[in-house]
Amino acid sequence: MQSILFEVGYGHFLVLAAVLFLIGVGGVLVRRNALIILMSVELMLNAANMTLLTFARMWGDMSGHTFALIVIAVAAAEASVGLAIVVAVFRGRRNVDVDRLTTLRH
Amino acid sequence: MFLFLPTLAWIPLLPLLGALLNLTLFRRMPKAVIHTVAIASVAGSCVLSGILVFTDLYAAFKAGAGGVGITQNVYTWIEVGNLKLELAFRLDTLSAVMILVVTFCSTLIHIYSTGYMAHDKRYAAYFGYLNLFTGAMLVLVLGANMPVMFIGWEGVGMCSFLLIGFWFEKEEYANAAKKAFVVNRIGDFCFLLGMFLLFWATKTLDFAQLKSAGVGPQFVQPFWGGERLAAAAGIFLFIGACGKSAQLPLFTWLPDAMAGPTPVSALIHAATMVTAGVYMVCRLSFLYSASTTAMIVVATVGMLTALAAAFMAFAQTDLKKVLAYSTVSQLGFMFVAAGTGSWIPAIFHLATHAFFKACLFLGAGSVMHGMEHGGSTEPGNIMKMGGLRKHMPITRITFMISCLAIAGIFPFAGFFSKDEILAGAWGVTPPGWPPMYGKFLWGGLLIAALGTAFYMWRLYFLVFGGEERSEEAKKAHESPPSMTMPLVILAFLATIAGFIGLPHLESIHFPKWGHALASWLSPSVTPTFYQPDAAGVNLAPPITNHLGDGTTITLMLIAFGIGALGIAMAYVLYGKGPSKTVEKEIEKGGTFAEIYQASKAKLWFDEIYDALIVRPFRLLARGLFEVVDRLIIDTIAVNGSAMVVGLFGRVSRWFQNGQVQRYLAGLVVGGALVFAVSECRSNPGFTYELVGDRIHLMAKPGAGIIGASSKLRWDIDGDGVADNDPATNQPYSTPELYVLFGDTGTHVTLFIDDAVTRKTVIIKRAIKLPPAPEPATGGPTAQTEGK
Repeated sequence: MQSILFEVGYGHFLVLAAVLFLIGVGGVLVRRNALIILMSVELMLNAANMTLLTFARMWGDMSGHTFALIVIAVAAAEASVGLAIVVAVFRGRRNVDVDRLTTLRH
Repeated sequence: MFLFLPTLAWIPLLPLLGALLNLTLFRRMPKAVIHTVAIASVAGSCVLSGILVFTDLYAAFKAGAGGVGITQNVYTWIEVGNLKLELAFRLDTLSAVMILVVTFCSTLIHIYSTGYMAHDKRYAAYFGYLNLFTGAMLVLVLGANMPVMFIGWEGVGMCSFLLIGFWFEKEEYANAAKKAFVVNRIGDFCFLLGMFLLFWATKTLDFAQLKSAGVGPQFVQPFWGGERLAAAAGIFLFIGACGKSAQLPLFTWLPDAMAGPTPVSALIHAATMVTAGVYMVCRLSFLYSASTTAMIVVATVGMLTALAAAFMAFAQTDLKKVLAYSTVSQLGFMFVAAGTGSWIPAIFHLATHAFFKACLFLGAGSVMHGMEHGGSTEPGNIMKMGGLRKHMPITRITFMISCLAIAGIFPFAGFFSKDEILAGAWGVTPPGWPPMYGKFLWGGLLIAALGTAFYMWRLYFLVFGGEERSEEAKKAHESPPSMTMPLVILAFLATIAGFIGLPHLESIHFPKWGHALASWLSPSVTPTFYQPDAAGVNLAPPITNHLGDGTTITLMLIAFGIGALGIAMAYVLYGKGPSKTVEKEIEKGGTFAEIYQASKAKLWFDEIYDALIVRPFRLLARGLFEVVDRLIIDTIAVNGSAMVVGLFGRVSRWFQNGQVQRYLAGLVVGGALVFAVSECRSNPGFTYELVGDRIHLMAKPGAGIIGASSKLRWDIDGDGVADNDPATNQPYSTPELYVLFGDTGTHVTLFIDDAVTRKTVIIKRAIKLPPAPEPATGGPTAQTEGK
């Protein structure tokens, strides 16, 4: 117990990543605003980044850093496309509640 | 292709083809076409029967070989194991009489129907059914083995059902048809049982083989408490006959069957189908003659039926109902004959009865036809008739002749045949018969004969005698020639048919040609009762009716006197219309009134069956319906499974609602479960095996993150400290290791360092090495190398 509290190790990073990821999941599952959902997705992506970095350090293998950089780039692209869609939807419908975006539902 | 069928097959096939045409292609043809086809097919069958009987069969009969008959196979119907059934027809002297009677009556009744049914909408269906019936009846009669007979047996039952319910628009008529069908089913079931029993005992169902001497001893083997097998089989088959031939206790369907068109009543429910039971018993005479018990049952049931039905006919007011009870009663006479071993009189009476009873029914149809044209709404009510002799002279004369015949008045047909039966009951004594039992049967039949004469002439006087009792009767008129012509022919036959069976007076050898029918039929029925000794030799004397001339003449006179007495009683009471004496007695009450009511209520047979069978059965059915059908099948099985499926649907609908977030939730929960399960199952440890002179260590660091992110260290020599690999001078860190025996201590320890939690799992295991075979040489060397 003591070692966990006073020595900052890989475990702390992983737990932080897990917490971030869970917050992101919770946001995606619970919130109905498309904007918030996008933000939560960003949280999850960043949690994943953090585990990638942690394990890279743990095994002493720097390729994990490369993955994290690629994820950041892709996340930026995804965020921009996602935001564009949200804005477009908002323009058309004056609301971005995912529960009410049911036009494609059969 | 059909032309290559054996000639015998054509006899039933012709009417069946007629039925096929009329029931399918010719439905919308003009009436003339329909009845021409129908009559031609039956008449063709009749002519063919005549040709076959009077040429081929007569030649065989003259040649006098034992077991006279022609058998023709159409094809092998069933071949399973030791059962080989041919679809085969057999014409012998017995079936010859039957096919002549059936085709002849059928032809006449077809002709009659053209007049009677002229205005019916379902003309083609009517003639189709009638043809179908004739074909089925001929299959029944000609069948060379019991299953073929059973085809016909069921076929006539079905046609009977179809024709009783021909006017099914009236619910009452449809119910009568159902009743006939159900009651017959009871009999048919027992018929099947009897048939199976015979097959079980004898391994054959062919009549000729059953009759052959080798099979005879099978009939006397003990079965069911010492009785002979023949008794069980015979009684089961007789119950079948009771259903078809309307005997106690299964007769109740026949009076109701009068719902059908009158020509149908004449053909099916008087002349032919209902005699199938009698025919079957005579056909199996060799079986019945082997069991006195079966014969007593047949004779007793026959006598009781004859008496009961004659009694029930007294007070009926419906023309056809009286005739129906009369039919039941006459069938009872025939069964008494069959039960006393007088097979020939049974068939004799069957033939004469077919003529006069068909004539009576057709006459009744003619009367009802006339009454209907007079505007009557209930044309069968004899209380509204009277005086019809003035309006329907031909019908009246023919009806009178038939009444004389059925009452047993010399020289009409019924006199000779009924007298034969009475004489048979008096004179023939099967072995083991209770003393005086024949005389008792004779007495019962005599009373029934008195009743017959009385109720038939009551009917005659009420219909034709006295003055008209209604406006409709005054307006009635004679029927067209298509109806009167068959009447005349049948009445003629009812007059002369008796002469084929004149009793033989021994002292004066008169008449010289004797009993023509008896000598004709004798090859087909068994001549003796079956009483084998230990060696299987039949000891019973031949069935003879050696009554002296004095007895013969006395019995004839008694029978004649009884008939005349019945007619006289009927004339006194009903000669001038409904009897005032009877009406007064009924008003007064007392015993006579009660008897009259009992007759009118048919001895409450329907009511008794209703209370004993129908209602408990309905109760049972309702119980089954409520419990099995409603509760188990409907509620539990059907609705229950639907509910379970619905429940699943409702639950899965909650997930499958089209929202990505719901699916995502499932994904998350599932992922978490997979994760949890894999973590739970990570059970770190290691195993080892011995390979040659080395030990092979295999670490199992556990699954999941703990396993994947762990570092391993090994302590090989058992000092509690992780060791280095001497080759590389680095710590042992691989999950698999090969170590020489000499390098190991008694224990090996595996350290698993978890990088995430910074905890170390320590697993220590004792290592069991084989006792070293050459410790002196191998041991020290290894040890030095290890250090």
